[in-house]
Amino acid sequence: MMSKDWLADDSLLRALDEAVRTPDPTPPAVLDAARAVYTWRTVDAELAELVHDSRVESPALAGLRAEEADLRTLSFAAPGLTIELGVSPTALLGQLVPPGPAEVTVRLDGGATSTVPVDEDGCFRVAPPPAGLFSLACETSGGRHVVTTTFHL
Amino acid sequence: MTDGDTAALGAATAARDPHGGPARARSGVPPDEEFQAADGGLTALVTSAAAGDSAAWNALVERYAPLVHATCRRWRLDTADVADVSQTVWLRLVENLGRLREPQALPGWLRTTTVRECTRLYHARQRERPDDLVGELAHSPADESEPVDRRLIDDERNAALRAALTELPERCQRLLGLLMRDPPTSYTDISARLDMPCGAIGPTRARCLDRLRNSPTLRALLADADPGDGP
Repeated sequence: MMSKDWLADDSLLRALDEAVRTPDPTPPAVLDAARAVYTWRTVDAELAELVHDSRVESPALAGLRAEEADLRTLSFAAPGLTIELGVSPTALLGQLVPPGPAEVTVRLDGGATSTVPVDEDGCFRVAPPPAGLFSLACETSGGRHVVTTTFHL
Repeated sequence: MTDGDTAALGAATAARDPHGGPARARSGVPPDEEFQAADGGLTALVTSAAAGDSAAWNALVERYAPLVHATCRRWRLDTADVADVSQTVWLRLVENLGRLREPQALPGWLRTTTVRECTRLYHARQRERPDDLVGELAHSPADESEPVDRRLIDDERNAALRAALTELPERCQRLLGLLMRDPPTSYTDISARLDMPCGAIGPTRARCLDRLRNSPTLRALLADADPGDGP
């Protein structure tokens, strides 16, 4: 990747000197955003990881008809529980697999939360689809507390 | 310099050296712990952040966000994509803080995750313009052999060195700081300020630079075989 000549003692010290003297060009907004991420920390919850995103896995999406291309699907999985999502322009459609009594809470950027009902088929709906970062917390009747990794559409 | 030496000398010089305190206190780790930490406080910060200490998290951001950012820029992602990857990397970290193999693995984890996310977004952008050969040629990750990319490579190296410096024992950070002064600090002055015999300065300098080379951040940077995952 890079030549390693600069690693010898004298040149390393010179390189360090340059590094310390050069102003850090990182925009403050980038640092602020990284600090703000900490509010997404969850305690005592299982994480459901993103295991499928049709947009990432189908680069040929551009060849589909517009209405098909709109139906992006996502899956978040924890052991024994998957949260399937379908994204339409007007709503986020969710399905818990396996279905069962549960409560789903949407957590939005800024901390606002809203709980949405889950029907007997494990289906729920978030309308409109969240703008910006969000996570979905699922409280099952069996007492599991599962949270998706934080995501944005 | 053994860890025992660092601890004993660090504690002694803490009281005497007026320049030791303020910069370290920012990090959220008690100053005494930092003076004695062979790893510059990295373990304490990761452990604290994993336990809910937002000041420790902010200290990690201050140390490592510039390098994450510089790496993204080296991949020639646009401003919005750079911000997106940076945010994604830190989101993944807050979710995985408690699952790191060990605190010292953090810099390597950050680098691996950053490069993976940059690669993913880089290829996604390339796919969006499959027939744009001109665009493809103009937008490859910064390459050391291209003079125009020098700035991007240097920015990343600078950010890595600044982060690596924080991973050294406080005593090394202070010695290297004094050695980099312009005009140079005399060995007599260094000896007095650090309570270190003049004859020990040269060997200690060599040991500190060796620690810098072997810091988690520099090891992770140098372990990257090739940025050429792109075309």
